[in-house]
Amino acid sequence: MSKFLRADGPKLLLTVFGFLIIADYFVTWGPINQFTKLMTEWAMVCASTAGAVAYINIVHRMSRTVIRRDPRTWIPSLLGLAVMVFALAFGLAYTFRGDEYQYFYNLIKKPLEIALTGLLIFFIASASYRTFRIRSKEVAVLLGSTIFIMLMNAPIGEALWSGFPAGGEWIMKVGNTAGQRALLVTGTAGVVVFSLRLLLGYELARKEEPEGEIA
Amino acid sequence: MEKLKFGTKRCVNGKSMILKKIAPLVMLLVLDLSAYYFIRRANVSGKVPKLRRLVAVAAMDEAVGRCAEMGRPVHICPGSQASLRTYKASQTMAGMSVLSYITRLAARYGITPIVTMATAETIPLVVERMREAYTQEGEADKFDSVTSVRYIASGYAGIMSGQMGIIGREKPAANILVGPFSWETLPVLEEGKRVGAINIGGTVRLSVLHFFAVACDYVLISEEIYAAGAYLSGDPVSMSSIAGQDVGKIFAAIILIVATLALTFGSDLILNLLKM
Repeated sequence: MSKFLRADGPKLLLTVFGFLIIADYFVTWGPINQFTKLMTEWAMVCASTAGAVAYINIVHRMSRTVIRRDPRTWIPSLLGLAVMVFALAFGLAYTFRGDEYQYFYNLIKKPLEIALTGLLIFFIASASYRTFRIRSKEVAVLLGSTIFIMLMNAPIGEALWSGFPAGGEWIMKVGNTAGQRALLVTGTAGVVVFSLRLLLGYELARKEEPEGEIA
Repeated sequence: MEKLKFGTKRCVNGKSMILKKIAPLVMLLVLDLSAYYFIRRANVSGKVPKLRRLVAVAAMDEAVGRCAEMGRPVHICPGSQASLRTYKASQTMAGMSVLSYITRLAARYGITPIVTMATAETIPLVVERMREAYTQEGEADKFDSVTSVRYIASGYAGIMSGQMGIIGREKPAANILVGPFSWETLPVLEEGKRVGAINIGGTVRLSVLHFFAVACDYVLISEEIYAAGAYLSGDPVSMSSIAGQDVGKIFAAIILIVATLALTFGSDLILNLLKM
């Protein structure tokens, strides 16, 4: 197989298809829009296949852990395997949209998630208690604005002083929004440039080839 | 074929083509062309921009050294929301660069890296990166993927409780979380603090950045994770693309300042241009 088919060909396809899909966002034209719709459907097929491969990979890894009897991880892995097999069998038997599967999801998974989410407030309190100590001018400003925001949201704030809601709202609307947008711009720039590197093939793994070899 | 003008409708061979969203297109072209220029310059003439060594990156060396002194493992997670399919892919790859670097240090000092994962599809990539890191240090036979790479669960609650459990039992001396994360990271960082670990973290996601700021000893804020990933990988293409990003950000800042001044003095020309 020639080097073009093995290396340069897939890179060229990736670049051309990728830029065509980007063009769909900026251009309203039937052929490009239809092409993007088709590629999106194919991407969903590939993602589902990746999900299936990931499932097989996890079962394989957990099985190896159980067989090796690693003292720290073999029991959780055995339980994980059992739950995975049960959930798959249950879903196939009753379909994932069926009432039985939804019952299983709503009565077991959701309450567990909600209970663990409820723990978050205690961790926020302990982290804040440790962090908000006035060690410098910057932390003092941070602590001051935090107190403003808290009093803005609590009814006692307005009872103490009518300026708390207005001041807190100004901090949220002006200071906080400006900072967040700056971070959003910089984060998005990173995503765009990474996408460019991906489309140009720089993120693909390259295999070293011996010189002069014609495959 | 009739030549297309920006923002107007023309018939091209009986089919109409409309060009829309001019302002985002200009911004995209500025970013992409500047990044491409720096990447080409690095490939052709070998001129790679110098990146400043971030405090959090320097702290990673100290953190792993601390693990070696105390004989405790290092916990790394390249993202509880790690994905190669969505917009989180860029953060995931930055996290992978950090993971490769920390794994190399761990292999060099003979400590155990524990990597916890919540997304099954990225595990093969993680295993491969770690194997490569061990091979580069000449310790390929010491890498055990079953012990080092642990898939926990894919839900928020599952990964949170799993990571807290591992940190509580294995007591790592360093807890390094760089990549795409969600709210479940705060309890994990708190557990790291409880067992006496150094917390180093970074993410781009705005809604959880404050958790990192509050609970981490060293933070990588938003795009700093890309710079850290590029710096630690040493890849000329990655380092050059950081310079391209900076050009795009400077362009955005100039537009913002000019538009703000124009609006202040009563002109909405720039604003109308940005709405095109």
